[in-house]
Amino acid sequence: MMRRILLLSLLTVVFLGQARAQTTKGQTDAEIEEEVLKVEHEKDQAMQKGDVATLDRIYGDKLIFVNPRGKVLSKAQRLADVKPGNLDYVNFKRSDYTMHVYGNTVILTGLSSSLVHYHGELVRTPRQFMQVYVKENGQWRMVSHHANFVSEQ
Amino acid sequence: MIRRISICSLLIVTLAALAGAQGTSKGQTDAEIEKEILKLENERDEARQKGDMKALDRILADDYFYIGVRGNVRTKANRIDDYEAGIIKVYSIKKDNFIFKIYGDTVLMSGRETSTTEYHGKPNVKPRQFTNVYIKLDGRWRLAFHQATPILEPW
Repeated sequence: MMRRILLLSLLTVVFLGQARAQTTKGQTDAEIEEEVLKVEHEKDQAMQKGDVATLDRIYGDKLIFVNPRGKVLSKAQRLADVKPGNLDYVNFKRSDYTMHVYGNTVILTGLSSSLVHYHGELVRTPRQFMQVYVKENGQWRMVSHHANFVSEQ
Repeated sequence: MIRRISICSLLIVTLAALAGAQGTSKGQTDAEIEKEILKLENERDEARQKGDMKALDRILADDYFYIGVRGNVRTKANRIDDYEAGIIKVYSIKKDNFIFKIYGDTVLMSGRETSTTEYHGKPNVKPRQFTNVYIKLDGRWRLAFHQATPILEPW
């Protein structure tokens, strides 16, 4: 009886170990990119609506957010920033997405040419941005954002 | 006897499975990983100053790319060409305010750089905030991405 319990325990450990190791295994890069882009679009919708609950779900708890003025924000600071009055989109336009997939990590870049009122200023200059998505507990979360104003070369 | 062999086999399978489940960086503390990354970052900075393309080639991932201070997207080949052609020059390097966030085989490194550099003949001494993404590829940390933003007045 004891041996059976031991065997069952060992098998359980094996299966749990394998399940943890999998996460994005068995998916093609194209499938991963599709998943990440879906989350990215959910995030964009949430930003336009000021939907802090959705952003809280998508942003990783250890988020590092660098805005185009080189200011570093934590997740709490960024969520406080997104509220209407601080951040209001006149229009929303993002393009030129590229993705680099490294297993459970995806580096996504793109160009934002949205018109946005941010802290009382109308921002017109296009921004080249990068975001890192990491799969945590089966969910893609944005753990890093960094944006630059695009200026003449 | 057969039962003992079965149990031993299962133990071996279990250990193998657990070893497979562990990432390459598992078993290291965050502090040890940060130390490794910082060492590599220092090697990269030395290579930038000396124009050591062999070292840069080793440290930068094959699909490395970066977003420069003007929002321009460049590849590893572009970067190395710039150094070889003397378009970019690095006179001194100063970095501080490091933040590390570790996700298994991915390390996000953020910091402030006040190095003196020159790009297309234009000096750059302005402080900039940077993000580096290091990824462990085939057991070796490599820089997969870099972005730097001039630090302006706060929003």
